[in-house]
Amino acid sequence: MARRIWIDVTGLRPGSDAGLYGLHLARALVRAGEAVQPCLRTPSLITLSVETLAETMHVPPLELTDSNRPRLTLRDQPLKSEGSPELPGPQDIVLFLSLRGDGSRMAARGAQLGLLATNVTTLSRPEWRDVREVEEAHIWLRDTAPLLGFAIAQSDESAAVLRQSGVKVFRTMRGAADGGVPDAAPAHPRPFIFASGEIGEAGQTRQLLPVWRRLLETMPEGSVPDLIIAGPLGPQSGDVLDQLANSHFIEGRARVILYPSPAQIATFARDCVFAISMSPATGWGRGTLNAQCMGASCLSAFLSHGAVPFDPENAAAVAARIRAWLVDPAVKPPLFARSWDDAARDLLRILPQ
Amino acid sequence: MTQSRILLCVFPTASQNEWQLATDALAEALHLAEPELVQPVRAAPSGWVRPNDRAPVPAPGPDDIVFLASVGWEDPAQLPLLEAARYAGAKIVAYVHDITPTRRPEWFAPEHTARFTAWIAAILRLSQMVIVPSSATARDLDALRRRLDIVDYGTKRIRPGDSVLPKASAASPVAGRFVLISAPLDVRIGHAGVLSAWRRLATRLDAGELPPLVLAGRAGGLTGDLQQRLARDLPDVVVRLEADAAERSALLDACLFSIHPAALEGWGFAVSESLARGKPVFAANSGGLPEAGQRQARYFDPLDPDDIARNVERTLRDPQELPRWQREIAQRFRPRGWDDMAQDVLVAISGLV
Repeated sequence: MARRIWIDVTGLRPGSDAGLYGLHLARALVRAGEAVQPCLRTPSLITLSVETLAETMHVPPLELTDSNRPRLTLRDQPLKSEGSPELPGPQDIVLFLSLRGDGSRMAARGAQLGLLATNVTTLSRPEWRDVREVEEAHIWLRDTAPLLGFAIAQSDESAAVLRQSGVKVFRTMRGAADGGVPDAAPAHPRPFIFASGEIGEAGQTRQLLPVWRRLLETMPEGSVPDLIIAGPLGPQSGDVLDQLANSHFIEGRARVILYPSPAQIATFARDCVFAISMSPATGWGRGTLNAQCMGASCLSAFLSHGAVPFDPENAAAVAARIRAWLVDPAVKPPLFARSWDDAARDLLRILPQ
Repeated sequence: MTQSRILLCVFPTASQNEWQLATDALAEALHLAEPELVQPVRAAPSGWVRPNDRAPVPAPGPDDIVFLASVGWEDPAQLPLLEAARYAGAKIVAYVHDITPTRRPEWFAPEHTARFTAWIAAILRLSQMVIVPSSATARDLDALRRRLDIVDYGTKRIRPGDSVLPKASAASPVAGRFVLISAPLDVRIGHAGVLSAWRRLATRLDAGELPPLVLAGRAGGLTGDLQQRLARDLPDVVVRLEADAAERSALLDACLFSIHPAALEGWGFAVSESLARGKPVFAANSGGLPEAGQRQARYFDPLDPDDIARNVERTLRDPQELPRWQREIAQRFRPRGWDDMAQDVLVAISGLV
């Protein structure tokens, strides 16, 4: 019987970077001729097709406005089961996309287990995450690390954390962008800086407000671009979204788009003065890479991707860096566009045959 | 000829924050200085009344001054009575500590900002004189007047008294060496920058060199996410949300030095209070804090945790530094009492009658 690659998406939030990473990779593996079986653990294991995974991970975009203050909560996965209830066999490979999947049962079936770590900030930056999520991640790694044949990390930080648990770690590059096609119409009527990434503590979104206040106070009137914040909703995002709404989105100078579509991301990335990615420990660097794929310069707090990193907790320094880039536009870094098919090929080279 | 009166209008709250304590101290000092002239009143739907027994007070006339010792924007009875007083020829004098809701609306609920802004605009139009604690507040008022097209009838800067906390009546609830932030745990104070500095210091200093940081003050607005992070195991941070004025006083006496990182306060009682007790204090270099701390406080950019960490590290590494700084404060800081401020207020407003 031909092998199947099981992609376990247990616990991944719809619209999250990790969820989209799994989806892009699953599609690329199918294009490469692999049999891919997405699954997730509820009390029991359930399976779903790649297209149902796409539906499960999809959250419609939502732009916050003065008259639109919905009660925002992090979404859990809707449960859609389809296909056979069969479990993986000894010829199969199970790739966990989170620190939540059912390792012991999979290992008992003889399947080979691997971890695809989009990021492991639940371990490296617990203060950004929910307490329960952090506790579960530690228990999962304690129980499952001995069963893992390998782990694949998307950043040096994730690789270092995983090596501490004794797992053999490979470092690979992911696909560069979501592949959205930009709209013909301009994204925004005025010049703007595009802040892309998870909204919340992991994305350091709260720092953007004091940064913009500093820019508005220290730069000539009319010279500060607008701010467009776009990304999935993450933990500890309530206070910053309340502040943005209280300020009427910095008196009309800011926009917030939750769960932007690939087309919206591409359009903002195409039209922005430059992009900024505030998260210092993102695994994928989705915001940075999407921007660079559209030819935008990206000011990034993340150490990878060739961008010159900055310290996102230092709002004074971030404001100074933005001011410098506005005064003297940065040379665009060389584009490192990498397709998801390339990423899938790298993965297949690592997987046990 | 009718005897002139100064109707001292205080809007009482149950809060023990520094602003309320300062208002109470000023009101008491004014009344003590001129018990015949100064009559405490408060606004009621029926008219002006005495605060203690709510007995009616004759409406102010041309020989009278109504002195607003604190903001009354939460008191719906106040503005109609002030307008009537002004129509009757009375002079209105307002003490305005700061106008933070108009400067940083993101820190307040929109309805709070709207009510405050309407109130301060009306007060600026009605008042013959506005008394402010600092040049910083004076500048903010000037900008607001220009924006709202309001004539400045006169702004007088009068330095407040230094000390608002009661003398400590019990021992500090925290033993050993520690550094204190005595302020509400509120987004306005900017605790996050100091916490970030403490994390940096923990990596630079040897074990035992970094004293714990004690955060003492009630929970305020928009810090739910910060409190989540504080709820984690942070060995170098002690949170005392229930600390009342007496406890904060004991903590201030016992700490090594204090820190006040608020980026936008009209005065900074936490700074002057610290100095009045001979206690070194690091303060934000913005708003009215440099006026409160004069040359005896040391300053940092509140948006720059590296700057905070550098200042603290320098002080901790040199064992002679704190004693030297304390001697400087003892020699050079001239404490100011509330009776001094009351005298200055009386002199300033006597010119109006």
